[in-house]
Amino acid sequence: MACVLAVAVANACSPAPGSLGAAEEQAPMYPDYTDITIPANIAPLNFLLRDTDGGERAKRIRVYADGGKLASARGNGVQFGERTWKKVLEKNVGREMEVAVLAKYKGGWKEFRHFSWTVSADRVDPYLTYRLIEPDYEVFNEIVLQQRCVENFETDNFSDYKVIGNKCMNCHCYSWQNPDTSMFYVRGEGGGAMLNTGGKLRKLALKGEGMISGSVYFGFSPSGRYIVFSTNHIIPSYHSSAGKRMEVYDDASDVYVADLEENKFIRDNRLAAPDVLETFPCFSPDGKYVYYCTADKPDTLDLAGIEGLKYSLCRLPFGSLADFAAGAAEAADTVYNARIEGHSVCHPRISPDGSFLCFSIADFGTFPLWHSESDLLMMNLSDFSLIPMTAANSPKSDTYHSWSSNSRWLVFASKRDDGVYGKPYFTHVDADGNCSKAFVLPQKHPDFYDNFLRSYNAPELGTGPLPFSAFDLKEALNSAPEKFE
Amino acid sequence: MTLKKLIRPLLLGVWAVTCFCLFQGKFKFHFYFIEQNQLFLFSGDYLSEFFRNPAWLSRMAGGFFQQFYHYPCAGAAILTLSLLLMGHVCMAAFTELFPERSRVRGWLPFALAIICMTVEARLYIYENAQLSAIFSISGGVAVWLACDRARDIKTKASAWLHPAIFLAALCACFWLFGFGILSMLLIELLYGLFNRKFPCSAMAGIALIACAAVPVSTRYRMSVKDTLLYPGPGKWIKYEPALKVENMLKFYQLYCRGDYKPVISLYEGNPDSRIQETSFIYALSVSQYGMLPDKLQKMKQPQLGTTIHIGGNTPMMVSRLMVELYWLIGDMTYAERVCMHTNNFSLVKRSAYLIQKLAEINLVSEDWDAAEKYLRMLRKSPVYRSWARAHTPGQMSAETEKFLAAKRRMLNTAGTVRTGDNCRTILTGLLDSNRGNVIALDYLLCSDIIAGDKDSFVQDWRKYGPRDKALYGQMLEAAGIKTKKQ
Repeated sequence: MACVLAVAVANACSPAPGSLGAAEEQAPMYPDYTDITIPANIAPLNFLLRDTDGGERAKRIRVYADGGKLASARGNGVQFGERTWKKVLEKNVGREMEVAVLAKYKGGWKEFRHFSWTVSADRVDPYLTYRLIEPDYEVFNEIVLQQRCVENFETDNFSDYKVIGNKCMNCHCYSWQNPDTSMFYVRGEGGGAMLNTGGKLRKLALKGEGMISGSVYFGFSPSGRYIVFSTNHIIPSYHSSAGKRMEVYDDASDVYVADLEENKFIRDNRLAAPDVLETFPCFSPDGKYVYYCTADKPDTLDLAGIEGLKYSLCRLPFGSLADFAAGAAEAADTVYNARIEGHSVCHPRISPDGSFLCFSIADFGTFPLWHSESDLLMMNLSDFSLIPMTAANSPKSDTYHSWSSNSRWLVFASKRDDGVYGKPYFTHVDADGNCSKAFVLPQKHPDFYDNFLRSYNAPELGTGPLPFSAFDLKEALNSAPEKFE
Repeated sequence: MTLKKLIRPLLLGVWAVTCFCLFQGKFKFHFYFIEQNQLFLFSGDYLSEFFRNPAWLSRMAGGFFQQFYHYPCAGAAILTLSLLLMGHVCMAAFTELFPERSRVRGWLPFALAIICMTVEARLYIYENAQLSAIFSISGGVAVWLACDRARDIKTKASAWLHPAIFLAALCACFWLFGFGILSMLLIELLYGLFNRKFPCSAMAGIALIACAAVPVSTRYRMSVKDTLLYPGPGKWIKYEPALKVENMLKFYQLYCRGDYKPVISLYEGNPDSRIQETSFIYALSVSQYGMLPDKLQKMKQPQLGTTIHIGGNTPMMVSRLMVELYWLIGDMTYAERVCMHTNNFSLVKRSAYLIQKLAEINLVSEDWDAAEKYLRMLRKSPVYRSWARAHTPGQMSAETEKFLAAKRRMLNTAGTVRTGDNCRTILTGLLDSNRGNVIALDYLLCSDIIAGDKDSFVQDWRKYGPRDKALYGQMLEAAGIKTKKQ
């Protein structure tokens, strides 16, 4: 009883927003959720207040949205009630909410500068898949592929070392955000490319005669019948200067198409030229084009050679590929010329509505994850003009992005916090291709990211949960791989 | 108090003192190693992780107490007290097994408890031992004792009430103490046996486990065996190999603390301790004083680490020592890489020592954001809070800043990439940036000597020398090259 009374008195004694005079200081909020656009279906943006420069920690926190109390917490972390959160967001769809944060320190209550949460009517796809791995990507141990419902905090490991053994696994990619068609790899003995079609898993051997490796980067055609994929001979290397860490590059790479119905490869010399590197292929959403990145093979692969490795973005009509149009040899269109623009392109991804193409740019090379200068860049496909993504980018690596099915949200991996551990960030893209300030995937515990020692690798958005489990995968791995001709 | 009444506490006292002395005297470096392999954080997120698997209470308690192994004598003391607690609970349970007027009711439970404590103590002698094992057993037995009290409830439904309570307690026991359910079940079986009653509760428990084992193990994504034994009762390691591991850990711990001279005298004064790992640590220690070429021939099996390549199968101690090697010679890229790798392969993937090292590596590289990531974690640990504060930029002592600045001068400043962990490339890269890196030079020249590669030795000595050492002089002489002195 006394306790309840004490809480009631404490609540009654906390000041209302605006009652403490002008609030100029920005809240030392982590993650930084100030002045952002959020989807109405996002999980609560739980946060904490960092200690002051003097080492003082907040004892209580109150959060107000448009003057109404949204949360009240003891300590320096805020966890919103899920029901209240959802109600408030649904009520404010299409509106900008003014958020006030008040915190109690030793010397009393302090009000921080108000900020805004704009609740977008564009909902984000509810599922996110990614790989959790230590940032030293060269040697793996106990990695998982996980899906997370971004509307709450539920996670599920759909590929789990505990179930399938300590194998390397990577790059789960949906066919245009469709959970019923997706693919990922399980490497090593008994592994293969695992194709999910409506929950049925097929193990594919996507390595044909003369290919330099099995498939690596890939993208689905709109129908899901084809995948366009790259084969890469990947060289991991380490920078001598501390802080730059890893450099990963290809000394050979080609692009092919696989017909998943007929189990055959479609080859075209323009995508597998001997002294050219081709990689990061994807289909356009209408299926008419194959986009890919390409660079001339450098003479030497020392640092100078690698620094000269700049990939341009090209496209070829899918129908012009050799198997469909014998003798066709029209040259590929260069959509973004690396030599002229001075940057190297990676991971082109086209919005499902076909309006925009988002890609990573870095000073050089093919592995922007460890390039602090790497940023995202948007291209308007109606006129191929470039739209800077300044609001979403950071001074550290921003890369590996995926679109939401409504073409209004992008998720990408950013190392903006510490430069080492990648985290999924979301940005809203409006009809003109302009993006909003990015925010990190919310977690149940506000200090989750502080304690977490793994990277969120290759985040991908999906419209629903994957229809298979790690146990289904274990069973599928026991099957013989399907051969391709 | 009569002697008869005193004898059991006295025996227990003798057992406790023996246990403490054995562990403190023979295995104290195991404790430091166990502590270094975890980082217990006072954080809601970290604590919530315990609930993702069974036995959260015993694992949480185990992790909490294990963090204090950091302090001298604390490991042996905590272990002894935990075993005494287990013994006390076991004795109380064993007493209940026998009828009240039984002659053996006094001594037999006491003897059985001592046996249990001794066996569990023995299972604790290995480098990855976890205190949670002892708490799981204690917890399981304590839950049985609580259930036993329920037998006193006499109602019309007594026939099914106790089995129902027992089954509910069994589930709770698994949630709290994991494999503690096996000790609970065992005692219940013994109870039925000794009291000549059909052990219906135990049978119901066995049936429950048989039915639930597969779905529960699927839920936790473990095998049925691993689920039933979670978090593990300990491991039986033969005494002699355990002593050898202790000796290796002693070298490692002393080196990590900066006690290089004790490492040197230990190695030189104890020929039996000279194995690959201790030779590696000895080389690291003598290098601190620029004495590697002077001491190279004293090493029984010279192991400088310069031929080792890190991979998924690298033994844990070797990869830990490679962290020390890269840190010592000044290559922070590889030091960080191996540190992350080693942490990734460590028991709970959150090693306090390696996280400290990662913080230091990034402080040397002046990657403040990355350093802050690790320092922030360390500040959540009461044991490492002061260390983290003392290494926070702006709060460092002049001595720490001086040390980090000295390490910074060793860095490779040339912009290049290395495709493997070829140590020769790493060492020459460091020497190209800083000819004054005597440690890197000694490692390079001594590696040439061990490999018997005279040509490389002469070439390296000419390029990065001169370095006036008797061993180098002998090598040059053997190669027919006269030094200035000659």
